[in-house]
Amino acid sequence: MPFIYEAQLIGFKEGIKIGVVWLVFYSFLLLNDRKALIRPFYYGLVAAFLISGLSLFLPQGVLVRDFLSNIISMSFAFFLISSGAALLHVSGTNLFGSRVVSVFQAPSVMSVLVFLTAILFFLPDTTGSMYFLRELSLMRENAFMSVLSAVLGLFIASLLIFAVVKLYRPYWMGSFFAIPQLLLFLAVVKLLGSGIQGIAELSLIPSVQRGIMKFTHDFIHQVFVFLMVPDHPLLKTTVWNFIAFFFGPNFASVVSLFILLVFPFMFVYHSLLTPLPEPAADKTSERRKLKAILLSDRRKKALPVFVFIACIVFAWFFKSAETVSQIYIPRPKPVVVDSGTVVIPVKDPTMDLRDGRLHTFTLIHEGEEIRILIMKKSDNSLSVCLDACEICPPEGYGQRADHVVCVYCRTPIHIDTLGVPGGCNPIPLTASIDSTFVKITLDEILEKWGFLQVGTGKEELHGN
Amino acid sequence: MVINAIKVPYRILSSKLFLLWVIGCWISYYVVSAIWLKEAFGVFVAGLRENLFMQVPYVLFLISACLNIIRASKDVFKKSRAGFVLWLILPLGLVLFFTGFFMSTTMRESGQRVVGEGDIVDPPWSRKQYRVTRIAPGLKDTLAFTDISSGIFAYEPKLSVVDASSQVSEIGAFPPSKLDSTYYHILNFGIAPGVILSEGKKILSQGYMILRIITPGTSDFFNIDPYPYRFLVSMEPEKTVQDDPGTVSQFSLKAPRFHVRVFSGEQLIAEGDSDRGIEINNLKLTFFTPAYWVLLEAVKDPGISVMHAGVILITLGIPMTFIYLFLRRRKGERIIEAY
Repeated sequence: MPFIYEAQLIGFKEGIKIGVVWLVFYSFLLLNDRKALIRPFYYGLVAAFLISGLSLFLPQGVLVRDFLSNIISMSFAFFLISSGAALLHVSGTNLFGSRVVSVFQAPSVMSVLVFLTAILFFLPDTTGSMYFLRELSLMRENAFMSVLSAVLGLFIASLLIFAVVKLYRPYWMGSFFAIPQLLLFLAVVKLLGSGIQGIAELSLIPSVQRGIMKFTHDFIHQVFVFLMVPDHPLLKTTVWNFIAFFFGPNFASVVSLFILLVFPFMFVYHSLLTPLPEPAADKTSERRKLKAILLSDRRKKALPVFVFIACIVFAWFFKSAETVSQIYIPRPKPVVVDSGTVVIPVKDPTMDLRDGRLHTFTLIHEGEEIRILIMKKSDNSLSVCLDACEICPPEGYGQRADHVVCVYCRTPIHIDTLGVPGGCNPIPLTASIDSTFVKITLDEILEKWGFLQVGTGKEELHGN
Repeated sequence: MVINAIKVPYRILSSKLFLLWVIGCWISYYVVSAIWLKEAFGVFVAGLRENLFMQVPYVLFLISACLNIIRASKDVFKKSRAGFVLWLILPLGLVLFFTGFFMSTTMRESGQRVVGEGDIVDPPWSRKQYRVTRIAPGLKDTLAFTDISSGIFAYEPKLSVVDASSQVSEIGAFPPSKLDSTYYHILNFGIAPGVILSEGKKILSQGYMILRIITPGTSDFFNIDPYPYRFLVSMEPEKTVQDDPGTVSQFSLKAPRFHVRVFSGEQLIAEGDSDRGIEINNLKLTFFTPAYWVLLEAVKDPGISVMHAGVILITLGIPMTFIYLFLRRRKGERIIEAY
């Protein structure tokens, strides 16, 4: 996609996000006679935009982008967890205590809260998008066109929202939201539209997916270790098929989706299944009436949650099809030993070891093929390992987003943990790295390769 | 005064609020940790194993969960006894599972060892000793490259051990066998060719070499001290058969043949197969009947049975909870209709 369209899309996405959040929040305030609280919302929005301008002074690089990405993930998690806490609170658990709640209900405190919430919601996203725009401008050496396209996108989105508001006046939608639903709505908007890698990652779904799938995988792995289920090599005909089901991407993906949907399901449960409170009315007919109103209100507030669930499920599997199954397995490049050392150039016309992609090399020694992998970590250092782990047959690794994946057992390993020995991590090699070459001694390679071949070292079995 | 000192913590720990805050705090901790550290689960488990600041909240969580179940049980039991049984299974399973998880993390002792027939198994925490009497490999008689993906075993490999009272026990891969409060199971398996290095009629060295060569196409090496040679070994195909879409090499495991290449430094100095033996200068390497080796794991873990019980109860409890919720919902609807 040409970069001006990409910049336009980023602007449009941010505009739609702001517009939709404004519309829902404003409708909510209108219906609850709290229209005055829209002011701190505007202040928060403007403050977020102004502060995010500071991103223009941030240094370029993967570290900063990852940092911003983590902040966005944190704000998403904050809204999601807060929505669950707010729901528990309104359904009678009184999580925060009556005193705290009465303080929060004071108009001045509410204004501050709305202001802070607006900053917390908009600041990470706008900063991330501005940072991406800046990267795009630098890459294309055309800052003016990038910014102009983004502003145009923002303008189109604003126009669209304005037209919808003027034509349909959809302020009725405020009746579908209470505070917990509002917080959940903010979390879902973040989830669906807070990616900061342009067209490559518009939503947060891939990173949330990776995070929860990693948790699912680690948890199952740990339980298997505790229950002494052999989750690795040779036992295919006995239990492997059963175990492979639990370690497969489909199982992890579905379980992860359920974990993410725990909060929306809490809302559905609260709205549809929890018993109604006894209304304080003398007459039976009045009680019935009140109960009917309560029930109708609950069901109404469950509706947006169903829409959120549908959106999340759709986005989840849409992204799954793209990202979960795609593993990049590079073709290994042959290398040779020169005076007892393997020398690999950091950059040559055909490759750049610092491009963030997985690079593999193959060395033929005494008729045996030994594979080496090199990859750049987020701190810009190069990690040099054998393309094999201690546990699995040496089928090597592939790359999927910010993980390498063991081709044999599909264990995801975060790139920043490359170089850490043990488990399914690739076996680290000691190498001398300068700006031009990676040098690994043959002795080091053979020692580690020999270790890999026998697991715990050579032993003779009751030899004489 | 004393009663108050017990009552207050009891009231706090048995409250739903406390339990929810502990769970909420853990979720927040984990999310922050996952976002910034990436390897959050490993860090959590390591912390739970060693760090008191992790262990204390976890124990408080377990106590609070137990007290909450007891407190809630009273209400559910009063409403319906059948409903109580349906309701209880899942929370009980969860508490058992998490208790077992904690016990396993903090109290587990384990070790791995390569053993062959005749070896003694004696974990340091156990007074009992076992002698390996037999290894049943469970391998197919012949293997081909296509077996790499489908599996090389005809059935599960087993290890027979005998204790001092001549009691014979079998150990497989899964589930682990429990012998005198220690669990044993096979983690890995392979073949150890028997080799003799001789000079004329004088045997210089003799023994079994533990190698990972059982999967077709793999090779492994061994050294014999103090000789400066590396012996690279792979399985030699017994025959090659015509098959669609081409030829397939078949490897016999009943009478395996090995191909050996001998290196001195970088240089290949000799090559041959196990039937004929390999001449290296004035030395000769010959082979005798191979043995099987097993990587055996021994684990002493009081939490495993608790975890097993938890897993079983959770599996039963999930459908039961749905039934309970369904019944309660129907009952609730009837109440509303009665107005």
